[in-house]
Amino acid sequence: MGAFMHRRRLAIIVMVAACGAPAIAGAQSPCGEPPGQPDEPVRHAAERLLALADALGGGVADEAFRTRVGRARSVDALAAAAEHLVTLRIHVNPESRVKLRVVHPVGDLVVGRPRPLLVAIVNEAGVTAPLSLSCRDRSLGAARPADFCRVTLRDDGLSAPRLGGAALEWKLADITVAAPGRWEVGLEADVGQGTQDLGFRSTADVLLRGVRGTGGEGGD
Amino acid sequence: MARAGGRSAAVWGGVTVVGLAVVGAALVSWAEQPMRRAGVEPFPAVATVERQPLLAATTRLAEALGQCGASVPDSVLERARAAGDDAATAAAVQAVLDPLCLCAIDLSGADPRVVPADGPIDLVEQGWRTYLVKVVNPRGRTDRIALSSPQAQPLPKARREEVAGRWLAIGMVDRQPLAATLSGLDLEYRIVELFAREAGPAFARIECTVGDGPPTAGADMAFRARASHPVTFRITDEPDRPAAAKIEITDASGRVYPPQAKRLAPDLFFQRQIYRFDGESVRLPDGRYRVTCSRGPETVPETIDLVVAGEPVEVRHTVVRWIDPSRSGWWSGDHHIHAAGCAHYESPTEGVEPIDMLRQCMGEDLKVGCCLTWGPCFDYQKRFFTGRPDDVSRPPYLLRYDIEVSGFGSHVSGHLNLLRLTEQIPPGGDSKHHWPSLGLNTLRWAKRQGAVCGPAHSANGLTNTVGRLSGTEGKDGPGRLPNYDIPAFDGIGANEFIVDVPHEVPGPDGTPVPAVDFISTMDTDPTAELNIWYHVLNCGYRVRASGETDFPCISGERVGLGRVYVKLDGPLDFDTWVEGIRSGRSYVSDGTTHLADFAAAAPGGGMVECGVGTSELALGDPAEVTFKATVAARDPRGGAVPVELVVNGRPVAREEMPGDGRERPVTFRQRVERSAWVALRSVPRAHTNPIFVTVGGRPIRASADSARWCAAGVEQCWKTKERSYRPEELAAAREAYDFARRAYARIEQECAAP
Repeated sequence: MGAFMHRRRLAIIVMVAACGAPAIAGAQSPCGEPPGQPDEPVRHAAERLLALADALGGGVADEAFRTRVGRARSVDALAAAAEHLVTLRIHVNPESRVKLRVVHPVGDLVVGRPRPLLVAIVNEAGVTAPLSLSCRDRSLGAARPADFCRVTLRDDGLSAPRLGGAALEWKLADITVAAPGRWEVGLEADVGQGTQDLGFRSTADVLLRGVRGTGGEGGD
Repeated sequence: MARAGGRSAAVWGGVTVVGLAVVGAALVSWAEQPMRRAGVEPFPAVATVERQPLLAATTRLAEALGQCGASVPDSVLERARAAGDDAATAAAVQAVLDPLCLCAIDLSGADPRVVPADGPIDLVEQGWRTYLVKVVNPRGRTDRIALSSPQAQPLPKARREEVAGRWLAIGMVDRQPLAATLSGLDLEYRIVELFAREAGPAFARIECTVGDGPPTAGADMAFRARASHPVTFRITDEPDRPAAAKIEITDASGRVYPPQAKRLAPDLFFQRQIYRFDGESVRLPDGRYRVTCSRGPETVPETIDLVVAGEPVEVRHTVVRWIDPSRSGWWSGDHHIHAAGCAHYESPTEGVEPIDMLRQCMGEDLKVGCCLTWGPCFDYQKRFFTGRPDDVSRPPYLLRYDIEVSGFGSHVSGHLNLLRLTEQIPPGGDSKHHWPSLGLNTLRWAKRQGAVCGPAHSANGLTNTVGRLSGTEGKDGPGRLPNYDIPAFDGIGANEFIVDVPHEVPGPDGTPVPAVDFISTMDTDPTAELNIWYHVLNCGYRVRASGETDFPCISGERVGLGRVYVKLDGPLDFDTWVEGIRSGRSYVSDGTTHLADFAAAAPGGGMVECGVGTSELALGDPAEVTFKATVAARDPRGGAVPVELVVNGRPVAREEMPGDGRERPVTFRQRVERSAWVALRSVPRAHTNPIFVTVGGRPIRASADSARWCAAGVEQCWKTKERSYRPEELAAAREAYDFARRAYARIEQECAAP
């Protein structure tokens, strides 16, 4: 994971140490975040993260989350605050090899209704190529595009497929299942030709369940 | 083999023959269905499972078995896929896979239950056997699942009386395409690998853990390990020299030996093959094997049927070459291989050692390996840099450590191969955290010490496009070479290259030298690699091409997938060899096609050999020039191999060469009207470096469109890379980009001039 993870470990150590230290009234938050305004890039990242969390819906951007994000003074602290919201984690190594992990279950999906997923991207290569996500079906042998599932990266004012080159960024993806029942889908990520990881770590196989919506939601 | 755990082997002795037929043969013969002994509890059956996820999981399982060196015939899987509905599919899958199982784990109750297969289970002395574990999971659990055994406890720190009983090793295979946790499907199969220390019968308690905590279920099982024997390789190269070779060993089931999943250096787990020197060996159990020996793309593979039957055996292989370029002074090399990172492991060791990399090179008959230290394991691997070939080198096989700027410093604007460094780290630190963020600054430091430098995996960042150069519709060459699409410059290949090429920087004696010596080819999209090279050559910049693999990142298959062959007049030494990359006395190749001795002759008798001197043939006036080369190509299917003469990036003549491996002269006569660069190519297999033919002393200004394309590239590169430059280098970056803008604008004007 290189320098980013090293920094991240350091940040966690610093936070733990601060939480364990005697509290000095007015000098430090309970979580050890230093007082004062965050740096501009961190502030922007925090605003963006809050907007993405709002777009996830379901009330995930609750007060506790907003407080943690508001107190964050580093991108690492933001990452920790958003950890529980992340479904897919993508790591682009210095050679632009992509590794994809499903870090939290996708859960049940209402048939025909897109479910937004928060995608965290650790970009050690600093590439600015578009990130591509796709669904594969291996049930018939060689992987082929899945006709029962679709995943797309949002391309709107909030999220865009092209990476920004930052060491860590978040994006929104929408996943949709087309029919009820359980399905195994192979999610696949790349950042351009030849960036799929050796040993196909750029794929993650997930068991999904499509459920019928109520009151005319979705459809199959 | 030891007996352990207080249960007598005699208790199990009566079932040996039947048990071997049931489970041991299961991975060997798929036609045989198991015969369970009376009284043995059958595996729990699952009546129905959704068809799509079960088949997808079964496909992944088959892929994972392949990675373990085991295999499931496609026909067997097809039978399962042909089943009509969910119930039939579930029945078919269980019929196919249950016989391959060590045990079943039944998760239908509150506690897991282990149901053993009929024993004894077939194992191999000093080897690994692969089995499946059936998991019946009606509750949809998604916990981690693992098998263990008291007999598989580690030997370090064991009591003396425990050592004999710890004869087993167990490894769960849960890397992708599998996962460490259960999927939640009612039925799935996991892979387990078992290792036996000694031959003979033994037993072990196999325990199961689902989720966290200690094992919650177990069963006693009988095993029988077949004896293995040393297989010694006798390898000679022409003429009767002991040598190294690439060796791939498979059994009748397609299982690879030694098992990949348990390899440590010198055998690399991500390769099917191993490399052995003459006199070295492996241990194999009794059985029939297919052994394929070769020594790189210049040799003809030999397949040997091997029978191991109760005693040590020797395998003799004499390397047969269809070509040996080194006999004509052409020395192969790969300027970009790694001993750490990507497919290599970081534990138990931080990558592998120089001797391991030399073994790879010698087994592929790759004369020069440029082993580049980069981001992963940098602080461990940096110790191998000496500023000369490593001591493990065995001339004519040279291994030298240098640097790829990757994962640090200026890597975002494009990785740089820095060869023949005298100092591997810039002043100001002893690791990778203080390097310049501007590639040109990295090059300034490297070129000052006489390094030979060029971008790595060049096409990365050049395959996405952001538009097309105006006014170039219909101007693309055949096969889109050249083309005028403007790349996004959004990756880590030859990106800042487009800015750096026009620059000269101080060399070792302060004299200005080109900042970039070569562009890497042969490991990424060939069209994108060649397109940017052709455009800068069309502007008159004399950048050369070299060949690389980026092992084991772009490919872990083998070193030397992409090669450069450098012509030397005397014995091989690294400094002279790498100088041949800089001067272009070289061609790039995948080893199957060779374009040697490229030279140009003027009508009056003047002759220039590619890479000698300035590679320039000076004509006073337009004239017909004769271009010659020695071509050899080997196409296993016997097909013809096209060789093209390229002038200013466009093919002007073509010869079909027989792919029979024989060396043949090829001659082209081409009238050169104005200054041009000329090369031979056989895309994507091989490409020569250029010869520069000047007419009337004029520089090469082949294409105003190429100059415009390069200028557009500078603009696009700035858009994507500006943020990667540190504030303290931003002024230098702006200056560098402005310099490149001015250079390409000037060249465009000169191209347009009469």
